[in-house]
Amino acid sequence: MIGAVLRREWLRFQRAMGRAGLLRFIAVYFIVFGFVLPSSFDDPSAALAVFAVIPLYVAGPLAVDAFAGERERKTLETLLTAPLSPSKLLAGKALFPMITALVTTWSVMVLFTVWTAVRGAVLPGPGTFAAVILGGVFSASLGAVTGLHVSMKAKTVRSGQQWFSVTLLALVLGIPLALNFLLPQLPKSLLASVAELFDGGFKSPGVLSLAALGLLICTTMWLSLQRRVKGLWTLNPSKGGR
Amino acid sequence: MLSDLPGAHFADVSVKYGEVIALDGLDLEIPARGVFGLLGRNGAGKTTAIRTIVGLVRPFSGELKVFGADPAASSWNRDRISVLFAEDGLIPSLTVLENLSVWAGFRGMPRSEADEMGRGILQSTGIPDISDVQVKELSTGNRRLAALARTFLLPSDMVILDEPTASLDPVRASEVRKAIDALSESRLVLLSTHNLPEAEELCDSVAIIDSGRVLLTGSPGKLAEAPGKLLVRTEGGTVAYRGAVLEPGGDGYVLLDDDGEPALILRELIESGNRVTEFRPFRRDLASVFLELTGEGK
Repeated sequence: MIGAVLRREWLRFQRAMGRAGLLRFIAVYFIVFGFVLPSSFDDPSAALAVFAVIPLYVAGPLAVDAFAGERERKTLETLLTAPLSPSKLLAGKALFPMITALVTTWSVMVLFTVWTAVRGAVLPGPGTFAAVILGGVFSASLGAVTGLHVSMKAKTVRSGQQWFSVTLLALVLGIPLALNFLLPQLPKSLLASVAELFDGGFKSPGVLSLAALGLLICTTMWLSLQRRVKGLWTLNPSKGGR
Repeated sequence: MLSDLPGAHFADVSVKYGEVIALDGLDLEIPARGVFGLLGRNGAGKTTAIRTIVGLVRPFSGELKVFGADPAASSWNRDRISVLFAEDGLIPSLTVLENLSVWAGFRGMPRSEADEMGRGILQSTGIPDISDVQVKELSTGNRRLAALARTFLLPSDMVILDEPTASLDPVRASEVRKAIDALSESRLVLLSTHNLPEAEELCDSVAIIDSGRVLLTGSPGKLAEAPGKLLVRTEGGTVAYRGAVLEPGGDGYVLLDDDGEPALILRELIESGNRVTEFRPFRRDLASVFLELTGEGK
């Protein structure tokens, strides 16, 4: 059942992009992140970190289309009467952008690694790769659930994507700005203790805590989505529109 | 037993969209089988009634049971009810067969089986040659037939069709009606329409609704009956009856208004010297019943 939702999403995405558009997208994506990126950085580890963030930018806009696009194409009402439970539909709608984002990102990451090795640069260690892979899963999940939240509210894909971009911009600019403001206020001893938490790399308590925090954020957002999707189904007109 | 339960039972159901009342204490029982017509003007509340049946809209007050269960609270009827809204709900960029195959896949059907089922229903609908055409390239008529095929694709207990022939030319509309007739078989088909000849042709029973309320229910035949009214045609045109000479209308018939036994009235007519060529009960068509009820015919 979830497979049917994934197939539906894939066919629609493929047709919307067109064969030429899809090939162009893949070519640009592979050239920029597979060749240009490793060639532009002296430190491959720093360049590799980009692959933890890319899935957010791929999954988000795809997820925004999930319900806003159905609304725009006037297929939402029929879809809501499909022989499918709300949770399965939601799972399919979330998995499609995540899978697409991760498959494309990881494919390019393989190319990146090969090209880095060909250039004779020192490859990052397995811990860095594992952190980037996990980070990618987190950012794809975050992109998908944020995009779905926006999609449930947005009337059109364009307005949804604008909302998503604003949210993303607020996060991307807001977090460094907040850190930049907050960190100098904190006692140096506290900062040193926090830095110690990250000693030991991938298995350090700091990294594990961040991973747990990421998991918590995604789970909370997912549970909230599950609640909201039921509201999408049954409209209570006396309490507002769908 | 589930089969003994009515398809849908509305008990004083009201639905409001803000200040607008879409259903106003609707009382209606829809049987579990046959073709049931929901007739009414645009904005009468037909589509809202459908949305409440499939659980997309929650009533403001009253109680609605669909096959004995609250549709807004249970999701099991998703497998039992299939709907064709005014918008066909097909994905324009997918082919007809892909649309059908994906729909069957929602119920867990393997792809090869789903494809096979899709081809089968297209054959039954009379449009097998459009299976590989993208929906956006179809004519309005074929698109409607493809949507109808999607609606009847999976086994279900209730099929709801909201204005299935709207915006179709008479030839295509007739094809769609034939398809509905052939595909409905042993399930309940709830047909929402303002096309009254269509309702007369297809429905076993109908409900006429206006302003969110039921005005009348019954079989189209029963609704068309006009007790005490008889049509008489004679060789001379006029009818001599109980001392009066009655002139025929433009259609050549004289309308007799008499509650008496028709056989006795006929004998009286003949005995009065009328050469009767035709004598039958007057029947209204559904359109005139509808216009009369909604006050539009005045």
